[in-house]
Amino acid sequence: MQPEKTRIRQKRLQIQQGVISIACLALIVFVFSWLINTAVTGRKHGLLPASAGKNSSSQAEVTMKKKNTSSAASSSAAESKADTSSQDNSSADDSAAVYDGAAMKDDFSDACFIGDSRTLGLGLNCDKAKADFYASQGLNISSALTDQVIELQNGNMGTVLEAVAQKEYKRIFVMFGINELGWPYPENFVEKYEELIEGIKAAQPNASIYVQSILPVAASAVNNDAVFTNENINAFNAYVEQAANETGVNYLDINGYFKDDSGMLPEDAAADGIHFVRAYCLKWIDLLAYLVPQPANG
Amino acid sequence: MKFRKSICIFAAAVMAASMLTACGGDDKDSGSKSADSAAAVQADPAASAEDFAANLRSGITYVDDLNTISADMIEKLYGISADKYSSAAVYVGGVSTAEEIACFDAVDESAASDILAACEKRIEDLKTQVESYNPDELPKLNTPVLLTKGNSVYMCLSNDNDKAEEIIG
Repeated sequence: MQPEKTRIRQKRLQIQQGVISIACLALIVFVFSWLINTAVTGRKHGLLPASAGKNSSSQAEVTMKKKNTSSAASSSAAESKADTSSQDNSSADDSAAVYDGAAMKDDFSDACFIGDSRTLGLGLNCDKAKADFYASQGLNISSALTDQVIELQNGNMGTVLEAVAQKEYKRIFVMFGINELGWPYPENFVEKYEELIEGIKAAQPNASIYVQSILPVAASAVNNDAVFTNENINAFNAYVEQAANETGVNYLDINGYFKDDSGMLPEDAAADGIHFVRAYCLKWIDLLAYLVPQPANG
Repeated sequence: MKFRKSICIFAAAVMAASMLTACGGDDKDSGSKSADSAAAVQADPAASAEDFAANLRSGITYVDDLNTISADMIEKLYGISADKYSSAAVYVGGVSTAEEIACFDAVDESAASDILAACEKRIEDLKTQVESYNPDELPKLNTPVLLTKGNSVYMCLSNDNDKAEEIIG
């Protein structure tokens, strides 16, 4: 009996050791597989690496499409460029937009920018220290004519028109409209816009004036105010174009460059759905440098 | 038997090593990294204004996307020329908030005084900008973090003044 019990114990022991050995081997295989997988895919804790997120974000940035070009920049040079970039964008969604990096060769030292908080944000983020930005938060096409919100070179506060008369410019970029979306009488908007353009022309008779279309908003912008919709912006852009045409200045239809496939400004383009973050300010200035290059004698 | 024992010991060693590695990775990725970094910068007498600004950027949650600006833009925005500081970093957003960071190591006491005045003017300018258009941002400007330590000037406009003061030390 005794040897029989011993044999059974030995067999049980052998089975236990076998099970433990197999478990250990399986564990080793699992750990090595996991280490190899981590090394090859770069995944950590089940999250994609930061670089992957950046890639997808930058890809979203370059898939902006320009809308139909029938009303694109009315100056012949700008119009021709706008058409070209539209074709290039539609055929090469996965590559960088043709205007990417255009502002690197243009310091905008001959230019000034007039507008509201969106233009103010452009001035902060586009790294063009030699350009002048005559812009203020909450400024609209009416208050731009009267409010002394711009610090002049002499240290006093003045209106946009007083600021623009301080030195000679070759290119003047204007954008208003986001703060006027709730105005009930669009004809008043057109009238004031034309008054501002005529004032700029009088102050800078040799400059080329470029009136930009109102930039799109993200879907979340409507949380700030119900008037912030792209339908409303599209309607007002027709009035902006009307004001440009009636005063004989250039109209730059840049709105469509910043829309995604759903016709909206991407959510990551603006913290509040309205004011561009740096990446989009850089796209904006690149686009302007591409559509309206600095004159040769700068 | 000896072979099986060896396998078991090896497996235990691999397991222990992988657990230690995993723990190390967790520590690096946790939120304590920025706190450690902030403490290191505070304790480091050689830490520059750029280091403090980077810690203020990473150690506080902001609504806006804050990015650094060039020396030319610092001069344009603050009126502070590069010869007044040995190190500086200014982070600005996209105008949707009043959030901003500005840290300077001035070259001397007089320059530090000018930089402090320039930061105070910047805060007043921002107040004028937002008071009618975006009054929700006024609290950040009415109680700004604006501190000097020796010839260094630190400004942080955020929703978390306690954290900003803790980082600056």
